[in-house]
Amino acid sequence: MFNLDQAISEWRQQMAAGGMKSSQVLDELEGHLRADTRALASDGTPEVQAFRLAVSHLGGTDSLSTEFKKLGNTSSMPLKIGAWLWTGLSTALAARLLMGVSPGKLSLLLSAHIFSLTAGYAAAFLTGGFGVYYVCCRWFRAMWPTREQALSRAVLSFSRLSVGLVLAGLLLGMFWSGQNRGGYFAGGPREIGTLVASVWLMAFWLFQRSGQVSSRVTMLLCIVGNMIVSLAWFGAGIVAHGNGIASYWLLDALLGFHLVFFTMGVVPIFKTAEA
Amino acid sequence: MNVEELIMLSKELVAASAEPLILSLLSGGESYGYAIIQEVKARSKDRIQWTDGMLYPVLHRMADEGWITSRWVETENGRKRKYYSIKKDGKRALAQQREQWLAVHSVLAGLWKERYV
Repeated sequence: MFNLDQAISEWRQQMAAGGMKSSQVLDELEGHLRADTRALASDGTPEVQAFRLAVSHLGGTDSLSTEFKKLGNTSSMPLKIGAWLWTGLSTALAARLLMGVSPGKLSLLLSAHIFSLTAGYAAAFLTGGFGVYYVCCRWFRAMWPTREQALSRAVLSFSRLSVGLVLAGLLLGMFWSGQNRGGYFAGGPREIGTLVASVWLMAFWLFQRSGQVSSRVTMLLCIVGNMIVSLAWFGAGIVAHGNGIASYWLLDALLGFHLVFFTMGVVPIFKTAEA
Repeated sequence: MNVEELIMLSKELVAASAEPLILSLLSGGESYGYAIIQEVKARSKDRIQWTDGMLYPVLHRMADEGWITSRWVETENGRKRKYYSIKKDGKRALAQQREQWLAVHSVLAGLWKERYV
């Protein structure tokens, strides 16, 4: 005698063997299969036939698996690559800072401030990286709308992350300054730089959220954002100290690099490629 | 059955219209995959035939794009069912797609009026 639960269990095994591993997706498809089987059986079709018909309506394992794999490959790939890069950098930074925490030298509050700011700036730089990638792709060939949308979504996610972290870094820095320097805001180059970067990142994030801008404008603003963050971070460091990571050479290289891609993004040949 | 009812929509047109159809249906309230398919079948008088399983990757992509959101709901028989509802970005996307479809419709209607009147 036909057992629907057993038949569905076997169908799930077949789907899993064909590459459909997500239990949530299988649960959803199973719900569909049961509803269709029930509807067909209520019209007088024997349950076994109703189930087979419902399976055929749903489509074969190969075609379903291919569609879901395509989805995974195109929609979230930039986000995945960015997330891996950012997580790797942030973990390494967190580990290094935690190892350096010691009373009198590097407090936990100062470490948290440095981590938030650096990780936030790294997230902001990644959005600029997406902008550079976009310009490179569009310069040489057309870009599929799904990839363009995926890139825009990745930019929005990393913008949100950078806004949150940089604002948290700014607040933590103010607390540290209040505890150690007797004032929350000294008005030094680094504080002003962080404030400028925070305002820019917040404005850019709100601008994107409004949904009133094209992908192209968003991507070009990402590149502009990298120049602003470079000036706010490294430029402010040069004014404050004039050495180390904040060197003229690094700042010039960053500004030059982004200026080249920004120019590539606005020249007429780019517009032709877009049309 | 009249002639109009026999004309099936081409595969390409069915694929292109999937997003605005789903967004339009969800703008009327939350729904789940099977119900969406049945609604489209009924409203199109069976002229729009989706392969049922193809709807789900489209729904998942639209969720990735931030146009729709989903939640699991327990039904009367104790089983879970995934309900989708439209988000603010989805409403915006629907408004844009509506403009595009109306623009195409208006051009075609104008051309055919000139030709056949």
